[in-house]
Amino acid sequence: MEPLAILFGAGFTIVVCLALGALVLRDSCSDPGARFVTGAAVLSLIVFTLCALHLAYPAVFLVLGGACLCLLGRPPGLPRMRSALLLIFGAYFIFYFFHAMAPEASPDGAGYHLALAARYLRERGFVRITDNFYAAFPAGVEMLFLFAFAFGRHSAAALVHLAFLVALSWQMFAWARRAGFPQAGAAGALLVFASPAVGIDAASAYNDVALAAVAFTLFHLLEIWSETRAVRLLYAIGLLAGFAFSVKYTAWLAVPWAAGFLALKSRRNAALVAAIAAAAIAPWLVKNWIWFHNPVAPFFNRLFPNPYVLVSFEDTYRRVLALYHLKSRWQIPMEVTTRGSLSGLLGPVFLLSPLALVSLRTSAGRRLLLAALIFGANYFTNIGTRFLIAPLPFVALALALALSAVPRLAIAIALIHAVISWPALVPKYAIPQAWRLTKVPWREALRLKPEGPYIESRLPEYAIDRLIEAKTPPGSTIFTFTPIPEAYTTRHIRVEFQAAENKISGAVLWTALAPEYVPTWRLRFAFPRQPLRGVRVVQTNTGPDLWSVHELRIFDGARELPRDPEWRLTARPYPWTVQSAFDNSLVTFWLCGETATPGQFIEAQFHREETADSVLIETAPNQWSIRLRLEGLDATGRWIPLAAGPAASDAPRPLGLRRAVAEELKRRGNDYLLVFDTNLGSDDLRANADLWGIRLVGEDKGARLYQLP
Amino acid sequence: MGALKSDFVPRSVILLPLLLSAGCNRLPESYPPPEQRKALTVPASPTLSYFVSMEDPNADAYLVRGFAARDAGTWRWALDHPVLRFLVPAAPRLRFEMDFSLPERAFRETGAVTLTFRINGEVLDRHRCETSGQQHYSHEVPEALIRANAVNLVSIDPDPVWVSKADGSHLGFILARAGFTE
Repeated sequence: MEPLAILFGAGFTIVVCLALGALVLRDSCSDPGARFVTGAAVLSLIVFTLCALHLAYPAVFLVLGGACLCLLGRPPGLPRMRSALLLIFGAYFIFYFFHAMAPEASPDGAGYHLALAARYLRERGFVRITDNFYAAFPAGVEMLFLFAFAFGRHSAAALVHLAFLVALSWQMFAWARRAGFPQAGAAGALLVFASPAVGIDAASAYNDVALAAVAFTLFHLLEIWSETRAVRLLYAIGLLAGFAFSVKYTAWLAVPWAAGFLALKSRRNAALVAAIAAAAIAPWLVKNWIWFHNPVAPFFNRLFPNPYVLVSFEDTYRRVLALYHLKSRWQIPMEVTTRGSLSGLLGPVFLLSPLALVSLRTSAGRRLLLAALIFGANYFTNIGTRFLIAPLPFVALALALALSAVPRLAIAIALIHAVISWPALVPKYAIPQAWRLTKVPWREALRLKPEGPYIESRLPEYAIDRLIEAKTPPGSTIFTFTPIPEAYTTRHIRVEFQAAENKISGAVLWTALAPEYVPTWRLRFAFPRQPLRGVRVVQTNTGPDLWSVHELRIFDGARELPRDPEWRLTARPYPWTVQSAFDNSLVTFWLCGETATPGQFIEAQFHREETADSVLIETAPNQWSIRLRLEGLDATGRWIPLAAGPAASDAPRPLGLRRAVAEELKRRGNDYLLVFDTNLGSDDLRANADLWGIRLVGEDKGARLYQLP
Repeated sequence: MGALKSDFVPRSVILLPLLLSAGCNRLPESYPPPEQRKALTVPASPTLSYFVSMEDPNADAYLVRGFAARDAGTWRWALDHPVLRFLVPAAPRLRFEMDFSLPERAFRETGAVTLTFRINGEVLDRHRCETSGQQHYSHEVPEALIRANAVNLVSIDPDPVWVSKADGSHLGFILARAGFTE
């Protein structure tokens, strides 16, 4: 029954997309690929609306999808094509199909694309998720996954993604045939279809191939519109431009590109398209604005400060994605085409991509390369191979067009590409770890073999999902430093790097594990005894450290000023946790949120004058680059310098720290701690579970699950 | 009904105009102090506690006997029978830890040094130091050896000691920090 459910889930989603696409485009475009992608944009918005209304029920999807099919009436005929190349496409398709239908075992698909879709389905709609920044990414394609998942679960979603590859490849050929160079179109389509990175991406619950299909459909419809000027095409163009953004932020240029293209002919049409695109984008921005206080979360957090994503994390994230493990960007061409160390490879033939520039001598070539530029413009923000898939169809067609100057050369190159990209041959030149397809898992696809061993052979942490499901009650929250395939657990997983509150929880844990995180550093500012209305500690240096304050105490002689409820506490640039520096707990702290830059401060204002002569900061020594000065608020309301710097000393490690940390993690809403052997402090947790007050409830493959006190 | 269940739709309707009119987020102005939590046990000078650093101005309070006179540095020479005292709170599975060093010059003459640790007169451990330089010692203390919430004496006898040719003093090791910890 399961294979049938998978096929129904995927097939139903695909035909509903086709029906919706037909409703939008009607006679203006009968291309099934364009209709499918356009319909996908509509279905995505519909599912978004249902999620917003908490009506994400399979029965609702069934009724709604059925109604769409009734509106469509007679299904459109499939295009006919006769070519020997179809055999090659067919061979690859079979490979991809069985892989997509096999249990989903891709890192990101099982990690968050489907995990979020599954959670929305469990919750019957959107829920406020601020402890996972992936929930802030626009999820245009994931809305389709959710629709398919409701009937066929994980594999149905992956098959829907594969449908985008078919729609893309067909449209590449269809566009080229319409433009008068069918052979180049077929060659370009094959270059994309057989690409190892495209293949495994399309056969997984990812969104890169979907974005490429949306980008090319947008291009395709703009080309058709420039010939026919059909008004209905404008609706689809607007929807697709907005859909491109809602699939991936990196495609934001789709909107100005489409509007600009149309503006050259008609500003009114451009305005219409921009308005439709804005309407398609707005729900995602509004959702983020309300829940993340940042419409474009998890990015631009300096512009839209919020408590959910630390600027320091964003900076690190951007820096890592901009270069991964490479030493130089000059390594990128070999890595993305041949070696595959940047999460997959496009195929060595794409080293010929610079030849695509020859196509600039034709109008079609110029249009293709402009589109490639538009959808590749943000590539250097994330140099993973997958991020080249969106511009790839345009580059492939431009390359094929350029090679077409020599008869049959484009086809010959495409055939060579198809041969050397065959999964059995890829290991001859790619690194062993390259993300790629390996075999045709037809038994697993048809569920003749159990899915567990298959998934675990690709995602070892799948075993941890099983452990969590077995050992924790429903509704539990598990904190971990290491991501696990969340799509296979119904429990709430908090991964350390995925949100500010998780980063803080991680640092709280390290407070008892890493010597440099233990709050043993004492910084005392002494100044002449005087009445003050407030004190402010200002950071004056630039450095790589994150300033933190575990406790800030104000003294008059030996007497600490009691923290009056009338006091007003604030801090910049990250004010949200300032209370943690005034709660009398050494395991909690205010974290600055950004690496040290002059002007950051933490302050307390009293509701009346208080006499004081020193300020003590209790913190951890993991912030060597900070430099502090103390200011006081005098009776006239002016901030005056009190001390140029503190005297530093060390205090012993507090007793009971482990237990206090464990209790604090629990207080922060975590029920369990998942620790892998490779995580910092795993030995200490194992050896001193009694001191932590934690209980080992299960272990598997170097991971231990502890229940917090 | 669905809209009522979702906290997204009604708020989005209300907040959309705000979104359009606002440039970017405003930071919260200020917060009151939160509820005060129970403090962890941390030694505070000048009272006696469970751990001492020789840079602490109150360090002399922990030195019972067998230490050279205070110098400008953040360390003290321990002589042949040094004894420290600590006020140890009730806590499970305490360890005795010590940061110390054996100077190269002395070690060349003494060779390996054995430190015998006693707590309240009972032997805790005999630790053999095979190298010179800075060292860290850590050993779990049986609960039976400790008097909780009372002053505990810790003696650390070095063997052999280095006899200074200059003044004939018997010098054991250089102490930086010592005390009880988890």
